Amino acid sequence: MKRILMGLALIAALMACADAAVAQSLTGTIAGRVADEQGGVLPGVTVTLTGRTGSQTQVTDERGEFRFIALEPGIYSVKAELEGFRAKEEANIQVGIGRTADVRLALGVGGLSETVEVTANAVTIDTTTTATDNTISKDLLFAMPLTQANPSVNLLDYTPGVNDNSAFGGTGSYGNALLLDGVDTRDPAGGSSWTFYGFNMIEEVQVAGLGQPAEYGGFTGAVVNTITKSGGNRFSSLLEYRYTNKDLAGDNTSDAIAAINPGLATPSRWDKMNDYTVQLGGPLKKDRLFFFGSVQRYSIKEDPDGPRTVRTEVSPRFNFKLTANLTSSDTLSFGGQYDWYNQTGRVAWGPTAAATDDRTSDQDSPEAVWNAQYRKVFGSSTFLEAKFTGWWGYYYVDPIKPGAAHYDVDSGAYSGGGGEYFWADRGRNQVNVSLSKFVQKAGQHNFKFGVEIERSRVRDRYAYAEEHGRPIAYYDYAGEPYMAYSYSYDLQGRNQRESFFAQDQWKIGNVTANLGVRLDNIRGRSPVLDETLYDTKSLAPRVGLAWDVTGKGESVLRAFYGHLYEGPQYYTFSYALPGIGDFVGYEVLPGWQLGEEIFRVPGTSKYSMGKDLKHPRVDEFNVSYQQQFLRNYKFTATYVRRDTKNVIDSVFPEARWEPFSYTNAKGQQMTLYRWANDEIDQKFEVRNVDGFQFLSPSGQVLGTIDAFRKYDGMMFVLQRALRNRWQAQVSYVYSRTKGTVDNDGSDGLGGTNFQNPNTILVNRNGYVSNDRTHEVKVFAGYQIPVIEVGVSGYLSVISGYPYQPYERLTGSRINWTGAKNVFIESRGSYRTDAITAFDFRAEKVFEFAPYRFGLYMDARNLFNQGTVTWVQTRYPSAEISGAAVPFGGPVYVQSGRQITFGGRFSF
Amino acid sequence: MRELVRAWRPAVRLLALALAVTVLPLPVSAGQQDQTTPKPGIRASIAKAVAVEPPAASKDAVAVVQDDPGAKLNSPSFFKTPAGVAVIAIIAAGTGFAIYSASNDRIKSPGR
Repeated sequence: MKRILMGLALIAALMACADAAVAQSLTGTIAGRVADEQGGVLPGVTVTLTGRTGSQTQVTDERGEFRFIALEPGIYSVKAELEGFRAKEEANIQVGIGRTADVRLALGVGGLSETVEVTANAVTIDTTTTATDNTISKDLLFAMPLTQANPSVNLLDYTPGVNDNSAFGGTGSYGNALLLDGVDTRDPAGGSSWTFYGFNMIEEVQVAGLGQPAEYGGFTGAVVNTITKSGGNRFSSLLEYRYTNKDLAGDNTSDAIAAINPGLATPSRWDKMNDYTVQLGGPLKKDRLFFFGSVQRYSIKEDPDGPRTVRTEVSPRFNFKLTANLTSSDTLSFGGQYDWYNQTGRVAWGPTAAATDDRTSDQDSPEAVWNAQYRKVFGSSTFLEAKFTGWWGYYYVDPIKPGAAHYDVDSGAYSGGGGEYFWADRGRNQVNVSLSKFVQKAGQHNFKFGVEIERSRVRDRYAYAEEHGRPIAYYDYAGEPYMAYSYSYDLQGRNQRESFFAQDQWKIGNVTANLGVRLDNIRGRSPVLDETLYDTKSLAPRVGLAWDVTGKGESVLRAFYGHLYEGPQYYTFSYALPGIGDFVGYEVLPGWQLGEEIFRVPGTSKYSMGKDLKHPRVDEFNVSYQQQFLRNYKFTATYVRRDTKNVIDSVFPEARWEPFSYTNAKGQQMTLYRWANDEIDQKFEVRNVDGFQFLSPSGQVLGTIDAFRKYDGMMFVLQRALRNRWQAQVSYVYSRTKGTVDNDGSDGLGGTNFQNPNTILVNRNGYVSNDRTHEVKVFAGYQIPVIEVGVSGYLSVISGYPYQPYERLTGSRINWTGAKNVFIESRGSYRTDAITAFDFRAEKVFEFAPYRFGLYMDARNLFNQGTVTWVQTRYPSAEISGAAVPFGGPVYVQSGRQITFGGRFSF
Repeated sequence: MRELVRAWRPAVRLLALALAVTVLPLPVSAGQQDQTTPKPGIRASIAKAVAVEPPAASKDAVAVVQDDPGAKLNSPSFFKTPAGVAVIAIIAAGTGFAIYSASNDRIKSPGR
């Protein structure tokens, strides 16, 4: 019972902990002051810090202050002793990534008391930072019913203001920096997550969003900094097994939904899931050398939404880490991960909701990750960190049924084989070096300077599946192929980045200025051409103020303004790389034989890079107020505004357009555009597209691209630290995200939506894909007395997704080289239903100190809600599973209730 | 609870003394570090945690260092105990099956 309470107390301490400066550093600080009960400073006090890997001792200075820097995240205690005074100890101090825990101890006069007063943390606020973050500690990860799959991104969604990885209006697929032990490990191609690591490898996760200092870059959404476990002086172990099957899955489908879309007649569910983890950590030499090792095997078999009947994943993972305290001030660690992720039932060509088993692919994707870290402490105010992280991996997607795919332009149905091959090879290495210095002069300064060097490589090979000796896909009409296309590419690119930052947290009295600047030099190169195709230099200021309103550390008013730049992404310049194959159209003869070549669009020569490119960025302004009250509560109110700028996409500068009146499928008149000078070759330019003008043959301006996206959000978060066996966090966010640039990953990154006025000038301004107007999230945990069962839950109620009807216009209709989807009403003019989900955990713990054995049950979507989460948006309908699903008809339903049982033994 | 704590008091004192003697002090004081200043005698009884909050909160206050049933985990001899042997056996079995799975369950792309 004591351990359960301790666990909950730790969770409470974590949730109540100071919002603190977010840092690439993997360490935190405990700083404080010792005074007597009248407030008089006490120099010469012996302060002992105790943690997992040993103890440190300092003596307070003439101001009664002490400072322990470069601490590994974890739980610490600080004890102050001075002859003639009663010793005092502050326990359960949570040191998090980049955090400074402020500890103030008041010693009472006393004699030879043998009593040590121990206090647990109350809610505290960091009144010096303008950064907000939600740190999820190991204990919270251990206790709450959190999604365990792909934690590098999925844990983001528990943060207020973040849904489907879209953070504060940003793009979910590439807008977030995903750091592993302080170093970004994303896919250099498009900035999505790459390294998959086990949930139980996590020591702590810091989800940082707003008001970030200059040391953080490469993001326009949020930052997820995951710290992996290490060994300590005490042997520790975790043995865990989780299981579920289809009998533990709820059926949340309805006859009404199945009548519209037969593919949804059976619910998406896990038919079987087996997941085990075995871990061991401890000392090889006490206080000097520690080890940690972990092995996990995760496997699932799923019956997904839609016509597919099976999808599987198997992933064995191996992790190890060695940490050495070379001296009292030098720490070196080295670690690695190897895993081989395999997936079947993945959909490659065509929409996932319409895919049958025949059109799925297998995925072969191993990876190896390595990292090394060195930390040197100079005295009590300076430390140096150097980090090197790299990874190698690939994912190859091959159709299980080789053969060309068919798309019927009349019905919208997909058929045939898997359709395509995609082979992706990747590698990334990054070095981060930073120097932190604390100075007391004209106030207090926390300086930090750093440099980052990144080198990444990408190779993508793609081809339609072969028929008739060439890569082919068919366009059908009413079930008969009328045209065949051939296409393939083999592209190679290199990302190169050097970043520099300088920042200062300057505290004078009750006001702290957080000042910083970051310079990113980002280049994209072609190793085939041996040329630099993309070259930008970006200077990002970050300015923030924090005012301790009362001077007591109980309330803070913050304001921040800064520029956030994306990281390097190969997709930004990939269209200009050599290796794009010709796009060839063929006549189709009876028997599906290929006839004459109808057209040939040369590949590589189509794209060039524009001049004077500016790297994509977001400008952020936020103001917030945070208040601690009644000792255990903390309330935060925040207003955020984010503006997306410097959107990069491709345009067709030499094209001229002819407007024409068109009656769409809803019977409405609208203006569309035909390509008027189709005698010229298509030559596209990748550039910043804002301000680009579409011209008529006479040079008249038909329309100007206004490439923007704006996010406005108000967030309210109330946290309650553990008391009387329960603790909770409640948040509400109201936000609007509008613009012409979507945040689902389809715009930007040198795409194609801005080439044609029909896909940028027509009905494009509105609520974007990840606009969730209202968002309520509630975490709560309670320890039931007597039976000592811990229950915890996570409730989310979030507005649905915006959508709009589109009509698929053939190339001949708009005189283009392919069909285009054109919005026939304003973007976001409809919205799906709000989605409610409640995830629950109950755990019975048996403690035989020092061992802990827990049996738990997790229920995802406990109340088996069956909300339609996405709809068919082609007007008037599209064929799915042999049925004509109308516009607005269901294509995805919330996953039904899934109960998982688990057992874990730990010490 | 108090009886249990009193029974462990001598062992805890010894442990605290051992820690005081063997820890490696780091030269990271915020102000002056005076290694020659004698520390006050360590008299921490570590016998009772006293919350400075209202009584209703005292259930939640936690004593950091009390009796230490986990002391056996500080030594490699733990792995010679039945519990330790069982842990090693389970870890070995889990590792072995994962290694087998990495080969047996692997999807081999024709592209490699």
